[in-house]
Amino acid sequence: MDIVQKVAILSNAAKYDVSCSSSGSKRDSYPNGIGSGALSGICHTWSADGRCVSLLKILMTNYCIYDCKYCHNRKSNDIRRAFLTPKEIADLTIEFYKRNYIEGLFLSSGIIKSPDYTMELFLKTAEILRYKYRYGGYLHMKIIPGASKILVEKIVKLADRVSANLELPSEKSLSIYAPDKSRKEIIKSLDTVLKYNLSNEQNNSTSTQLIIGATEETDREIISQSEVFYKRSLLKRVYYSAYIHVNSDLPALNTEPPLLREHRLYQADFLLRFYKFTSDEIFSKRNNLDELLDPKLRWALDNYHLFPVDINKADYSMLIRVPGIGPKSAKKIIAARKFGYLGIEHLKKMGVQLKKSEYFMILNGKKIRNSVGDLVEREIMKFTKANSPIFKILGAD
Amino acid sequence: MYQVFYDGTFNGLLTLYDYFDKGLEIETVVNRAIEKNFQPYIFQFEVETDRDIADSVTKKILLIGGEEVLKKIYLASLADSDKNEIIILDYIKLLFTDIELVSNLSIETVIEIEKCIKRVFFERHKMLGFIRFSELYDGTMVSFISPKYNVLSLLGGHFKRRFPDIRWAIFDKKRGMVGYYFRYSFEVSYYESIDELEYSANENKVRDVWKVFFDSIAIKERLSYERQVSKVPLRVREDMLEFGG
Repeated sequence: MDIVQKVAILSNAAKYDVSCSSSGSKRDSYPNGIGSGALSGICHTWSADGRCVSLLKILMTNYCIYDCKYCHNRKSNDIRRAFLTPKEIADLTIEFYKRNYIEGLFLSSGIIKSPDYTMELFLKTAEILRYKYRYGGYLHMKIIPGASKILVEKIVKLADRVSANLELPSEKSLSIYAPDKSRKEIIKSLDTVLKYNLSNEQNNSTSTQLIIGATEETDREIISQSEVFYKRSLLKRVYYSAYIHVNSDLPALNTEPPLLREHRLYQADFLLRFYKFTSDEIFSKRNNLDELLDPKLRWALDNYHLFPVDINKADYSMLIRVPGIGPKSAKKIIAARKFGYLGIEHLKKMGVQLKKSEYFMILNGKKIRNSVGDLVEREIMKFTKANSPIFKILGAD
Repeated sequence: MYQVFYDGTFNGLLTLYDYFDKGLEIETVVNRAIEKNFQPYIFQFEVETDRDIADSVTKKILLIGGEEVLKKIYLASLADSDKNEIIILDYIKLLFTDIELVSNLSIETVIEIEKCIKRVFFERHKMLGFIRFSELYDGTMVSFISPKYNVLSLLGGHFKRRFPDIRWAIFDKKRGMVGYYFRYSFEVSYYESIDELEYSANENKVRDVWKVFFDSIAIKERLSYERQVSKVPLRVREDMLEFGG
């Protein structure tokens, strides 16, 4: 099979992995080598589904000994299969990289023979890239749960990010839909990575991915689970992927891919990571996120007794909880307060978004808005415009 | 009131400043490097770039404002598609009036300068991703771009770190400029025309693989061309392989 056909099959098979982030690496180039990390991450193009393409995202092979119900590549599916050798993958990465098509490689794979055998081929790929080609670009590799510790550690040493997908939001679902996989093994491999990083002062980031909407877990269960992983530093990032009908026999709860739910979960995840919310706070009055309103606004309305906040007095942790004010604005406000009392004009000049926040603040001892009624109405209207099929056809305005 | 022409260089702009300072009344400024079509006007004035005049303005900026301010002026001048010349002239004038003025964020000109710089860096960041190199028969990597702003000089550092041992060149088709890297040095100059390029034996194959990769990575159930267009504007696509460029 020719390389073009192989890539067609194996990148098509890899597309369901969401992660394409290349940020957070500031690796310097090797002397006489090629490549460097860019701290901010760089998108090189956007695919037709509007996703940033930063990495050569590909499977080493889509042959697999497992038969997971949600997976396109499971062994019982009758599909075209292909295999790329470590050398082929390394060469392709370098050719793409030096043409500036990509920031690096994201290698995943079906499992052939055994987890260890598959991981050995990964390791070989990483070694060719790092040692033979002196490649300093981004490298994200999947950890195959169940692979031996020493192999995992060797990969961690050479990669910028490693990931192990939890696949489904609970152990119960996993045992039903992916009987070959064990959640314990997945978490064990993440733990190996954490321990290796700690004892070697390395800072490999770790991520995972969950399929949303195929099983019955609530948003609360999903987000509080992520919270535990973040707290234990086992994961830096959780990706949520709306269920897509890949195989006919996985009972989906929703017939349409729950894209909106996925969006809201990412927003809630942000609240955990950057706004220091706890999942108990986000879900204080509900088990699933509100579809109409974003989780931060929803939380503020649920906890309206905490507002309005005096912009000139509130501490940082309360400022970032005001809808419309993020960490950036909050820091600006705190810095500017040192020079005097802030009024609405100051906030405008600093670029603080008032559309939402003015409903939740006090300036000069006065509330700016007395009721949140218009805000909620406006947000619901905005939501309807963006999501209703009729509005889409008629063009909203 | 004059329609003033200059060559689009930084030195040209500083030369223009000297005329402006001496009282030249400016209606509009035309940047010859990027504006091929302009409305003719009765009163035209051609600024001949003068290295000595430009140097003396540079020195004065350095003396009063220091390196930071000079850097700001240079960066803002790169936002050339935005008719930014008058803003820059005003900004230099502010500086020469009182250095305190250029850090006063309630003055419109100062805000505009900051905005120009932001836009320039935004364009640079986009270009870092959108640039596509092709491999020539001798291993040189070449790329053709038409960026909205004159960011070529800001691209060198990034690719120097990335490809220290490769010989590469980036051509800005819109401005007739080329940035050339070889043996640890990156230099920007002008070019007139380019000979027919001879690509490496591998080049077409790699391009084909890239195009196939690009097409098969999209999830069909989630197509969103609106989002794609908002991220990869049509203006940059002519230089990008995967969009037929």
